[in-house]
Amino acid sequence: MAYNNDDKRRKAVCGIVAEPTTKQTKIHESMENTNIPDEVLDNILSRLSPKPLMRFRCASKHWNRLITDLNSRSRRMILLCYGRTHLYAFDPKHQNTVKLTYPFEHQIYKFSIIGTLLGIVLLLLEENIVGPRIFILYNPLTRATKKLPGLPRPCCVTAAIGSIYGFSHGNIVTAQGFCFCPSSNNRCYNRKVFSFDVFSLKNGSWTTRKAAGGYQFVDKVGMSLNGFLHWIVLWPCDDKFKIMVLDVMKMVVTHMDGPCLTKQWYNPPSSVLGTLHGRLCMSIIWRNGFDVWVKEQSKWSKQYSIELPLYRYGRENDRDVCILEEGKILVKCGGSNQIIMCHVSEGYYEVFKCASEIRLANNYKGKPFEYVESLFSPSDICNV
Amino acid sequence: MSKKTLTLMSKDKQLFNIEEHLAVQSVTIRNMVKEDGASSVIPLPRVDSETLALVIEYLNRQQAPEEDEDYVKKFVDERGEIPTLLELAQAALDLDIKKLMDAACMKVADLIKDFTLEEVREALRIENDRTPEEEKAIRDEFQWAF
Repeated sequence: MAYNNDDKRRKAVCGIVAEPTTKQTKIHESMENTNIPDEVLDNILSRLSPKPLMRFRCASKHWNRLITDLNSRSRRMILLCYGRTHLYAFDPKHQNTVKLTYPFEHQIYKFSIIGTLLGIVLLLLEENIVGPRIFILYNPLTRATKKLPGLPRPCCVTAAIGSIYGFSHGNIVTAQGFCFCPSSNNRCYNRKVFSFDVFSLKNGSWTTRKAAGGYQFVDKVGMSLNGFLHWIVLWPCDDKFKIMVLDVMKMVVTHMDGPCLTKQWYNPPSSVLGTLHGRLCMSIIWRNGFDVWVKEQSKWSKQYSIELPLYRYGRENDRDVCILEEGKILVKCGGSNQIIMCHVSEGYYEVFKCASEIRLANNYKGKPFEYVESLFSPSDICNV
Repeated sequence: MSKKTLTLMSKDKQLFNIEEHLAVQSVTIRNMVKEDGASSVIPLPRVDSETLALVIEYLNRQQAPEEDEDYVKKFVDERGEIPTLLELAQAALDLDIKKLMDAACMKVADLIKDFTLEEVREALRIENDRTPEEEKAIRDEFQWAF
């Protein structure tokens, strides 16, 4: 059989037999050791935790390059919120939970995760209910942070409560012009026009846009897909739920129907938007499992219906659901440190235990959020 | 089929015999055998005789599959010196023996994880080509790691 030229290793093995001279083994050894093959180094480095990894970046230029390039280190991690200000990173593969610290942690009233980009997380910090909103970019692996310029205009009490946020294609979107009151007769949320504030990471500045309103947002944080942000909204006049879609580049607002219009289905946080293999999907949680609806060519279809005894894992009606990439759905149950990861298309689920301090406080919880670890610095994505 | 023997040659020209059915745990050797029968001596120009002896010992192990993981771990544990492990990892890389490579690298990672910068440079003989300013910049950025 002819030699295959793709088998380079074979060449390395049987190639040069003729060593120029036979030096003493000792000298040879020390020479060889300065030349550890990159494959071996990669293999070693990929087993190290962030701390030694960051430290060893200083070892040499070559090591710095290897560590920075380490694709094998791109672990998929899940951010978990506990209480108003506690943030944890959970590694499902190794079932490892790490408490994260971030700037202003002890000064703020609460925080939310708005989105991720290249392993960098956008956090919204609120000093108090009506106080200023602080946006920071945060890399949970390197702990590097960057504070972004504040909102261009102050927000009023009601607006602050009703504000929504989103992060897509390097643009932070927040709208605070509409408001809603919990009391049933108050229709103050039917303001016809509301304003968006958009921060571009590239330009480093805020701009303001207007859009037609008249509805109430169910989701606080929008779901990003292909440069579009999606929020579930409620039309108060006829109790209809829809999905508001914002084209982030053009700043155009449209609306689309959800998979079904019955009100009970949308009882938050039981329904959640996400993506499944690059398409918009919505997961609707029941007591005994959930349905996954997928939008294909402007039509919704129920693709999966999963039976899962959710009631066994913590309090009912107190769950946080997150749709992960690769067709997985994560459910974090109230009052428990158990996390359920359901592999939707494969039809099975796993139950993980994370650090015992992660239970859910009743009122203060946040959706889990998935990110891929990277060594990018916040300044890499926003240089202002 | 009769048990065929292969001969491996280390870079210092020492010869080692090994039965073919054990040698083919190495993907590299397996491919060579498949292609041309590898009747002659197989030269390993990057592997010294001490390391090759270890590799042969590893390939000759007679372990039940369920105990194999433990065996590999113990095997590298007993040779817990970084230079030996690196040689072993490199040989395993050339011969494409994944289990041995992973075990050796895992052990090295375990040994160096708490090392300071100076210690890791010494242990892996890394030449420091960073200026003090560059080093300081990284130290400042990742203070929590030092």
